[in-house]
Amino acid sequence: MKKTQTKSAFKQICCSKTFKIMRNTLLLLLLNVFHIFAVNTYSQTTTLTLNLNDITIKEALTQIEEQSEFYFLYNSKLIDVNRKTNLQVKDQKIDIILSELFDNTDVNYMVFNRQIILSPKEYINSLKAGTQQQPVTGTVTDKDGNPLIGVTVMIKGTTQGTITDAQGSYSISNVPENGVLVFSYIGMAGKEVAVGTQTIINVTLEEEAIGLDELVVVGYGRMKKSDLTGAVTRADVETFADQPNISVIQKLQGTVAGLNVSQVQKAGESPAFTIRGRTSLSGEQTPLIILDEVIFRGSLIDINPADIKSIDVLKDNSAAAVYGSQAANGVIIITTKTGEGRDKKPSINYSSSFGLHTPSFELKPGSADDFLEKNIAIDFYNSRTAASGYLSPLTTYDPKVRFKTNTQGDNYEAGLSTDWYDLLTNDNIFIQNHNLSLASQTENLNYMISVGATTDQGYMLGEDYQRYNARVNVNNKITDWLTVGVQSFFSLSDYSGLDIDPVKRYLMPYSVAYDANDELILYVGDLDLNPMARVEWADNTNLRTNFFGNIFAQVDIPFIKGLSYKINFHDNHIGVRNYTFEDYQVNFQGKGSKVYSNLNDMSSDNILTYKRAFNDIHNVDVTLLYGFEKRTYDDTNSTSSIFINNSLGYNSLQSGSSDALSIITGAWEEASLYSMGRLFYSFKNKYMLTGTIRRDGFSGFSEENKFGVFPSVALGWVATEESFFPEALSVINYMKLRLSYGSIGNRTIGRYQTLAKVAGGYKYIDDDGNSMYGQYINSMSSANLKWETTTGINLGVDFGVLDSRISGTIEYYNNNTTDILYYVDIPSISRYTTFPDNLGKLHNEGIEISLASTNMKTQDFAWYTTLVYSRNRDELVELLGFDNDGDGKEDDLVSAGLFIGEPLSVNYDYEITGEMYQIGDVIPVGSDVGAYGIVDQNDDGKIDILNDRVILNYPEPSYRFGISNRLEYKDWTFSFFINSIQGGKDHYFAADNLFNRSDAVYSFNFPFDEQHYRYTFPEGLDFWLPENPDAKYQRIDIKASNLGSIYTQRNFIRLQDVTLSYNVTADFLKKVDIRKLRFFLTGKNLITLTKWPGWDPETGIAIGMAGRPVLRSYTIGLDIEF
Amino acid sequence: MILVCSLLLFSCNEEEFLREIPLDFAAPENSYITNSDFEAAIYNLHYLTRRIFWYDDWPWHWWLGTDLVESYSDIDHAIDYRTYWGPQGVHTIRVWTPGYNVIYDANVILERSESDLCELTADEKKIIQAEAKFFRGYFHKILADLYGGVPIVIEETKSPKRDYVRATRQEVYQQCAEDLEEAAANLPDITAVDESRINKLAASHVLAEVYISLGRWQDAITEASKVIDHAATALMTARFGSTEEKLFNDPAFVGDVYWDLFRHGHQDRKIGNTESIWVLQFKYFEADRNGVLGGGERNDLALSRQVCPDLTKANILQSNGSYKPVLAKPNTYYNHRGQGYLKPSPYFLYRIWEPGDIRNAPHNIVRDYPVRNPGNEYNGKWVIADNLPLKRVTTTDTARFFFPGFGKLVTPGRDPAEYMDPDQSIPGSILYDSRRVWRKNYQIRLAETYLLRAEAYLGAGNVPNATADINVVRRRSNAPDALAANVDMDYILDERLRELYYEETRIITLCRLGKVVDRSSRFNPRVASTIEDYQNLLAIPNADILKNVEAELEQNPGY
Repeated sequence: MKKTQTKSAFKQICCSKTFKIMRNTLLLLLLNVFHIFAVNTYSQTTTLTLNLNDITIKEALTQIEEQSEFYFLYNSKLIDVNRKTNLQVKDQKIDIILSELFDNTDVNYMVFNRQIILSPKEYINSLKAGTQQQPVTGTVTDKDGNPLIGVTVMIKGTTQGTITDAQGSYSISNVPENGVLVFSYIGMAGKEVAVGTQTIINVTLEEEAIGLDELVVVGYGRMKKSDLTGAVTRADVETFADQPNISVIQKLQGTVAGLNVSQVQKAGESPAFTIRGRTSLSGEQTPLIILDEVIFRGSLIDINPADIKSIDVLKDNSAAAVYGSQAANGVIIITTKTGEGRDKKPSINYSSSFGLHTPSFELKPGSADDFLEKNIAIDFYNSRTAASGYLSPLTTYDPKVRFKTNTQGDNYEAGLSTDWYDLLTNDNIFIQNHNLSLASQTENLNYMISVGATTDQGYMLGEDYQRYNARVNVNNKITDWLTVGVQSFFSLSDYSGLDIDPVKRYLMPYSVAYDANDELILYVGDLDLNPMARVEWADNTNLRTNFFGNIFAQVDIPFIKGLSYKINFHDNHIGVRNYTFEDYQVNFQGKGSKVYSNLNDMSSDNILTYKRAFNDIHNVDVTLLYGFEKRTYDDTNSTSSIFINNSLGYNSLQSGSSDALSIITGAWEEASLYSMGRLFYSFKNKYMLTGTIRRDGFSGFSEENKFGVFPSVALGWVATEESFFPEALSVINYMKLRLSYGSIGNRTIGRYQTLAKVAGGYKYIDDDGNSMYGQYINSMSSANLKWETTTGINLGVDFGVLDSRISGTIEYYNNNTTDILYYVDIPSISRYTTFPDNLGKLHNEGIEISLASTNMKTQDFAWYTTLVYSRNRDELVELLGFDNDGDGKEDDLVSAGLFIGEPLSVNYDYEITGEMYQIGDVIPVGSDVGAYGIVDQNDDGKIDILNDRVILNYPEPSYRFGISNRLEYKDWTFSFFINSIQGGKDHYFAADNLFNRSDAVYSFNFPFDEQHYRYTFPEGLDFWLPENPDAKYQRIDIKASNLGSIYTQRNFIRLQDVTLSYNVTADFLKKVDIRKLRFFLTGKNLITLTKWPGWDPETGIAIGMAGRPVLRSYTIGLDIEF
Repeated sequence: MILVCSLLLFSCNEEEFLREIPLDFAAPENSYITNSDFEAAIYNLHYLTRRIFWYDDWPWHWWLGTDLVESYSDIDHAIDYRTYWGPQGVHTIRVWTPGYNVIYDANVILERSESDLCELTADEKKIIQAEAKFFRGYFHKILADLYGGVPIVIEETKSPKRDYVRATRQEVYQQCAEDLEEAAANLPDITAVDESRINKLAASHVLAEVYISLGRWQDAITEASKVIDHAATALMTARFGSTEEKLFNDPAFVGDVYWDLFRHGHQDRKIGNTESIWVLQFKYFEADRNGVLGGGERNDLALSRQVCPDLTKANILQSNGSYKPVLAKPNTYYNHRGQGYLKPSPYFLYRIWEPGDIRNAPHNIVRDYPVRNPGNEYNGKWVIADNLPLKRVTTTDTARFFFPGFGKLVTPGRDPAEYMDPDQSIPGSILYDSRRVWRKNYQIRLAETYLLRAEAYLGAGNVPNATADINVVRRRSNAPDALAANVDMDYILDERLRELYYEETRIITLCRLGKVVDRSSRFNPRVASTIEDYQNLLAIPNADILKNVEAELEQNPGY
């Protein structure tokens, strides 16, 4: 471990000894780089004793490495390491030993503290001997504009070359005019540039697509991607960095196979996301989030996306097993930026973007006249003559009859109306972002300090969101054996201002918002408070603060090489303050409230690791963990109304009536304990094994079942390393097979479920009018609750074809969840309608494919494509375990919509015949005129929910895919990402209706009330009327208990992200002393192709009042670094 | 700090660390110990009961589809009673589940008062258990009345149960009788108990009704007689209480004793009302808009809202051809904030009354209104008496906006200040969210006990005594005596309509007697068109049939 802590610029090189086996990389360093390592204390103080006979140079180097902290960097093609030699030294410094080994050979050595570089002498000489005939200079940077140090620059076909310095600059002489410069660097794709007449050539190198040496965070440690045995995906944070998303997870929407992120519709909202399919019924579906190595239970919104360096997604059981509890839903590991990888000179980065948003799709209501026409039409029983079959208007019908108040009628007659949709939605929806960061690395200290501010003006009026972030990450190497550091952030989310319910957009137009003097009118319907009062009159402060701190100390145990101990202590505090005062409430006597809540998460991990390689053959990495987590919460909610004096608002609730004062407080705590052991072993980097066992204890389970043990094992095999790998398949340059099997737990049905609860409050009065306390048991105890366990297998193949021009990963998983935590339905005769229990079995399987291809790559132009595809299926295998109907198959739990042998989610409903009942038809019981006919499945002559519903189709997607393309031309980069969710034949169906049973209040068709007369409708709705007998949708105001529904697929293809960016050329920047300057322009959700008629297919919201549009946005931004 | 933490960690005991300690709720084990614990549990039963009978749109369910109420809201596409009372209907589950909730909560009290932890004295225990048994019996009775034989639950459900089976209706009534007998034996006397609580006589009244259902006529007569003959009970025959409430804010307004029974504060025995047997308590607290102090909840007892017409929409044709409403704004002195959801049936309005009956006096059934709208040229004139050109074009005009209102459902001038419209240019204008009746409500009134005993006498074949009981009730209201020759079950049901309109839970009575289909199809043609012969019982809710997976919960025949 300690070696990976060494200096910055060489991060890519130094992290591991294995680099020396890299075959096609030249490594040389120029003297000016060496200044960084001016202090060579280790090399000058360390002495070694060696007694080696007849061994190869390679073996000798290995011996030195094992006895000391020295490590060697060399290219085995240029250095003859198989030469036999003898070496006898006693207590000698490394200089002496090296001269013993290499004096009088053609090998030159250079010592930089612990690092020793071997290179051919003549090569160095040739570099030094360059003449000045046609010098070419330039800088080499990565795609973020960070200088790349130590990049080899060669004149093609010669041994003449140089290496970039600490600023990434190089200078090379004697370049012939027809010469071609070859740039190469470990972990980066090489680049060739024809020189021509150019004297300045600036180059940007890209990471190699396959990135096998990339370090992936695997939980309590890191691992080379090539060593992975489980299903771990590193998300491409970079490509989508420019998108104006508030939450980092939103950037990943559609880009990681198996990570499903839903749409965000409201300002300051964090999207829901899941990994792979559902493995639980009532348990938490959200993946566990690990932030800088510790569990983070706050909102992802609070993490500034600009601070994030990498996101790794742990998908299979073996990978997630290190986190045991809750890892059943997968794990997302977020690592924030540090000063690592920078040079001594602090770098200052500023980035800013501004994005303008517009609704991508809207259901706008018609005019006031349309409203009236609609009301008259749907009231046809009253507004038309029965004799005409309700087709001819009744001349005496007064449309005002359906208005709620006389004022509305007066407004109608006076020609006054309000376009609520226009009034209540924001005309300017935008997101604005500023981020400023400072980062630096010196020998013993690296740090990153950042601040950020984001403003999100939402779709609805009053829906604005502001966020302020600050972060400090520090890593300090105190001594050779002790490193201490901290990751910390603060964020303030400001949701102040009351929101407006989107339903209010459809308020009837004759409810006028303002009177003749432009004063707000308080009541616009009968009971409808003017929604504008919430914006104009209410006083609301709603702030969430999040303090996160993780302090760690790492001790590299001095006596045993490779052994280190790390302890971290983490505390995350989330405080919410929500104060509201509405002076217009309670007949202008005022109503106020103050709500405070505090959530504190505290955890500490003790991690012992032993990581060592033996003879380049055996690699061992052992991790042992013991830790705890404790969470506490408390809240206070005070309200008051009927104020003597409104002027002090919520800051003087005691000014309210004593009868109206109420204080409600609450609190909870929960704790968990865990220990984990993980062994990684690899043999010749060809065979790998990871074994993990984790024991988890959670306070929320019953006494006997508090602990769960979750083991897993995973194997990896790099087939292309085998000598017997068939020649015929030589087109495949890399292939690794992975297999894992293991189990993990889910605990998140919640705390206190094993206990019965008593609730109470002042509920009644005695005959003197005194308030009397009442109490009752409000939940049954579920005394045997235990861990839900998901066990499964994951098969993975990583491959590279045509020299990794095409690379990819295919994963297949197959899981079974048992002891499902589920609020199972029970008859309400028991008082409770559900009961938390462990029962049943759920099967879940799927396939994920990720492909990356370099389609074209020339000097100036490159084209990359990546594709992700995922498909998941689940099936309920067992549930309650009863077979009362005696058909030999377990009974379904129809009341909860759960069916044995079927997917967890089904659309279980009436099948419609395609006909609609017309006036004069014989209408069956439970139906009505203008309703869809329903298929009588059991032919008993009546329609009832017990016998006539069937599984029509399934709401979950069949498969998802995303295609990302990146085109680069010189300093320009253009990328676009297409995201799609498809339902295949039977999947991704949703009810497409105006009467939503689960959300009736938000339906345009709301039976058993007159809601539909009090709201306007979107234009052009095709609903049933006597004159429109073949309508798509059923009659408005339908009064039927058996209502069928159309089900429509939500399939869509979306041009989700488009980015164009320009890197200002380096030579210009050099003059103004800027390291990087980049401009970008992005578009989001530009085109969506779908047949779904409702709000947005991905949200699945049909034509309803509460729906919100997905926003289309155009963003400009810049990114500058000094 | 790190060191301290790690020390703490390693030294802690795992079991101790993971022990779950509730912070903001109590556990049953330490919440049913003292008398005040049990009193709190009893008050919860009262709360639930009030909620069941009053909350929000409950009144619909007690009256809609019976011989009392013709239609809901808009009569042209009236409710289909096959589905309204059917297994999916909104009605059935809303009576079923809350009823069983009360039974569960009563069982908790009964079981936990027997535990070793319980610190009740023998006397306290006797009364607590008696009151809990009253509620358990009362709600089993209501469920049996409405659904027939239902599952009997007499133990606290402590683990998930999915194998409920129906007992016979007889068995349920038998269980009710046992519970109520014990309640009647052990509950305090009506003179010795807070009026918010259950007294002996309330238990006797319900027990009498159960005996009737069991055909134990003499027992029923005996129980009812205990109520009627008690020294502290008597029908109110003279005017009493305050005369502050005046319809139409008319200073010359004069009511009568029937009017007095339903005024604010008049339901209390302590002001001398000897007719109250059990009154559901109500008091308006300012905090009730937040619903915390126990007086009631925002939508409590929305009687005027449900039943009275919406006169702010009843239009009078003006000479210029336009229409202007009778009332400019809802008014506390008129129909309060009527919304006209439940239009009374013509049978009730026009066919059951005889001259002289004060229950049908113009202030008790308000059949005419003066216009109160400065913008209306007929301001001050009476709609019917002055034969104003009332708009009666659509069915909504007559089914929602103009029909008789009811004096017992309004409390003129009693709206709390914060419900009064700030603009009082029309005195008595109220805000739209003033939707309650501002008084307590009778759950059992002595007049009903007389009519119950009449039922029992009729069942026992003693028509003269039945007639005598009916006439006690009728004489108080100045109605002509009933003739024994006319007295049968239908007469008693008619008398219940006359005496207890919008007071008794009519559907329970009709289901109990198996008279829903008969009465509705004869007296409520609009309901008759969609009612079937099997509908003397409601359907068992499908929701529970589906969830009861370990046994079959049988549906009532026909549904």
